[in-house]
Amino acid sequence: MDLENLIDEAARAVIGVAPNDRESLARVRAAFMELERAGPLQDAPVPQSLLTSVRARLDEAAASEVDEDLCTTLRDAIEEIQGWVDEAGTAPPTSREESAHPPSPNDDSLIQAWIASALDTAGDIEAILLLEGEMEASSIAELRRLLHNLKGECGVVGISGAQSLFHEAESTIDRVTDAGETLVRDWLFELVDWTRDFAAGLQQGARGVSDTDDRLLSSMRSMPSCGDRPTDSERSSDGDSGSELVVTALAETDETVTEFLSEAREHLSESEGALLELDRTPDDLELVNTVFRAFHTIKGVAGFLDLEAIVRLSHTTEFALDQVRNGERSVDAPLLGAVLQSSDLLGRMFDALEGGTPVARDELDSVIRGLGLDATGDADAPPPAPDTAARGAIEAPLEPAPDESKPAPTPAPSVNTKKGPSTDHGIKVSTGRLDSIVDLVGELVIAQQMVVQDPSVVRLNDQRSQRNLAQVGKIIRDLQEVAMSLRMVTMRATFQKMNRLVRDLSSKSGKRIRLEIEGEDTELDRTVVDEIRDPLVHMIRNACDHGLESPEERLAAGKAEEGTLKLRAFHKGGSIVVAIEDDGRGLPREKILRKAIERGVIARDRDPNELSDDEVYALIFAPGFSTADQVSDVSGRGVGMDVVRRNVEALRGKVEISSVEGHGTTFHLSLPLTMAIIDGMVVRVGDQRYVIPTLAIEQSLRPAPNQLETVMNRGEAILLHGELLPVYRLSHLFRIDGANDSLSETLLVVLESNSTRCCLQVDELLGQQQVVIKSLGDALGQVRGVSGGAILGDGRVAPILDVAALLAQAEEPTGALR
Amino acid sequence: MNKPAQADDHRVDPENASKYLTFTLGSEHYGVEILRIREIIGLLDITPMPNTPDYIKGVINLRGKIIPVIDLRMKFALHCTEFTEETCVIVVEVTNNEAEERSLMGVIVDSVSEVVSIAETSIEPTPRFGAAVSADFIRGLGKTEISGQDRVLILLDIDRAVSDRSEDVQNDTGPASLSVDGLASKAA
Repeated sequence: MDLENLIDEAARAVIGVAPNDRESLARVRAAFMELERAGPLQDAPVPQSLLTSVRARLDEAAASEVDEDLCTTLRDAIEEIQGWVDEAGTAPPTSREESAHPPSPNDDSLIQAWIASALDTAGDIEAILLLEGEMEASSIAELRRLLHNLKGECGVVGISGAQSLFHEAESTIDRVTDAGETLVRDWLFELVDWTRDFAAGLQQGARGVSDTDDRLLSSMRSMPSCGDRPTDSERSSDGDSGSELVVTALAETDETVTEFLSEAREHLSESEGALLELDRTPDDLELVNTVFRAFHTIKGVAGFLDLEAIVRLSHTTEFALDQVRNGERSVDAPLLGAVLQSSDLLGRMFDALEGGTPVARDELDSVIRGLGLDATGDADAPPPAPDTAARGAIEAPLEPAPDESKPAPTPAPSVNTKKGPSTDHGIKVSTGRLDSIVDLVGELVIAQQMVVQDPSVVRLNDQRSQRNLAQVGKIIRDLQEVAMSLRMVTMRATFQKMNRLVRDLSSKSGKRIRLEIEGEDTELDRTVVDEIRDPLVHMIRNACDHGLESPEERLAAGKAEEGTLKLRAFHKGGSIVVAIEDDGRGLPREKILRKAIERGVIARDRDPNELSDDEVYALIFAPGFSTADQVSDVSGRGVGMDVVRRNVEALRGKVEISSVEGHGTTFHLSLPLTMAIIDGMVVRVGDQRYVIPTLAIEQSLRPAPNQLETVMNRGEAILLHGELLPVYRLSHLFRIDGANDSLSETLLVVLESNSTRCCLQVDELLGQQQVVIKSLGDALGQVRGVSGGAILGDGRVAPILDVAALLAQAEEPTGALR
Repeated sequence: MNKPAQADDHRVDPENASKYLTFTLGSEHYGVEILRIREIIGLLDITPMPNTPDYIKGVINLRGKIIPVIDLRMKFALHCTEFTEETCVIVVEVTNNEAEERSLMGVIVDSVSEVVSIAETSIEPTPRFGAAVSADFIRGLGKTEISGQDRVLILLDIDRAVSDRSEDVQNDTGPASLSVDGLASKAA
């Protein structure tokens, strides 16, 4: 029976009512109760208070007698209701169904947040899937939790298709495990892939992306193979009113509502913290009180704002907690789970009010049932009407409720003992802001150096000022460290992706490959991590495709059938090294040479035998170079290694290859720890200053005359701790005028790079300081031997030495001895 | 010179006239489109850069940003003179051939004169001087009046003028950049 009929009937009953006519009164009462049960008069914001007060009068009348006064009240009431309905009739009715697709991008930042967390979660799921052997119960629980979170987040941003997909995945896992079957991973991998693709699609702003995957959905539904039980979603769709909405977006949110929402969210997060505490110390009544207070406050304000569904939910939760306070109920996992669910749902309702996905009736019901698990029936009932009626007219846009007396359309959900939101109190900050912090701190460091080195400040002979300046310097250094650490992330996520890649490549190529990962907790600048992902993918593809042999070949070569690929990250000197090591067939020197000559990468007249192994291996970085006889879909086009070199060089890193034919290849990517700031030693040569990265400096010394040796009166060397090190003069390398030529009067800096050591002669060490690495400007591009420029305290620029390139230059025949 | 220059030729018809900043190198007058000029600064401390062509005088700190500075006299193989009070640095926006992005570059010139308008019609194509002069980075010759005198203005294609791709500087670029690159280019 629809609303209008109900009202008509009530109106007829009211007209028919006469004083002292108990029968007609009973009819009126029935009609009003029907109306009230239809409570959420969604299409017409009929004030609930009106109905409640009428009902109260009727109850009163039932006890005493019907008088003229009551009849008037009833007539007025029905007129008012009709007025409300008529008014609402002109407004378009609110959609009853959740918008299916496309995903309504109601809030871009929400979507962005969803994408980020969906990608994270997908990575986590994948990590679990990649664990060896049969899945343990704890992993499955974790999987379920992750899927559940994903589902919830989909709900928040309103991607209902994906939501049902994840929901289905969750129920599929349940069904499969219930049936005692092993969980097949493939469809979960597909799901992970789909999630990634979908998220990527969303990120690119593609509108046409389908937010669900029917094939995946149906394949999930068919699991477990023997299972013929209806799925949860089918069951819930049997319920005729389950998807009706109890909380939808408010037409307009005024300040009160906004304030309420932000406060309520705070209360929620407070109570969530307390709930998680409770998990550990279930006897702490003070914590229960905290949670109770939170829900109570939310209920109060929501009642004031006529948000009935929220009132109902928080009331029920409060009720359950009250039982705990009265000792009627103990704090156990089901209760905590239920309360957490309730707080999750409240959170979603808040989002819904702001235009998020509307919350459906059955969700509310199931959470409320979850709360009432062991409680008396009271918890199931809506809050006593007068409680809310007293707070004023209720006009929440609510739909008719399903008949409460009917059996519930969905079975009570298994109470999830989920841990709630993660305990990591991180916030998501855009990288742009982080970068600007790092930039600003960099400027601050420069400015501070300028102040400290200002002649008038240097002349200041005031102890207090000097102390204060030193303090400022210390704080700035700390700040800089923190700013830098903000950008540091671990290699874990990147390595995990490789795990997946190897698994796919292995199944595609029929090779058995084991990936060993080491040092995934090594931290690196975010930019660096982002930039090396592609190179890593290319190198791993190469290793799997070219490096590792097929099982037969391996057996024939006397190796284990299973190929091993090692992915390691570790600190070395001032940089991070990422090593990719395979035990495959190694780089074929002859084949590379042949191809290189064929393709004209090296000149025909050069004797190939003259080339060192390093030079030959370097050839594989040439664009378009490939030794593959056939281009497969994995590799062979010769693009990969070119990408590797470009990306790594762009990061001021380098690639080194070592290979033994028949035994495997190792790639070492040396990468700078950070892109922005280095510790540097400022040195003077002539009237020029240069910055040497401190990490490359082993020591500095003023040589005694007898330590120095000359070779043919040109090359110079020094005997240091029994080791003969070549001595290079920076003034010669860089052709600097006015440098001190007498070796014994100047300083030697012992440098180490790529396990090569040497001495660099400079005139003076001016001091150590942190410098911000600046590009020399695009117009200049890369300058050999210089990795960038630093602005020193006096505002002038000093080149930062690229020690490796400098040493390479020095070793060339024309380099040092000009 | 088929159209005789009028006295007020350089400030007619703004529609097809562009504005040029004029500067001098020795006795020659050059012009650069005003739209490419970011600012004009005095001579700052220039930090020399090793392993760069001679005409790159080094880099300067332009309010926290490092930009390279080139000596146009050296670039054009003109006779070098001492820097004077009038010597200044014109900061121009140049387009790198490889990347479409614009970057800043300082250009040292003897002195900056004034801004003139030159109609497209009064720009003559560069005459061929044979091998004696590389016309690569000259857009054309403009006729205008500078300081009350009729002059020929050498209009520069600033992108080409500051790039190191013109042949006259190849042998100055020093050792090849990177070993792998070196190998490849030698082979090619």
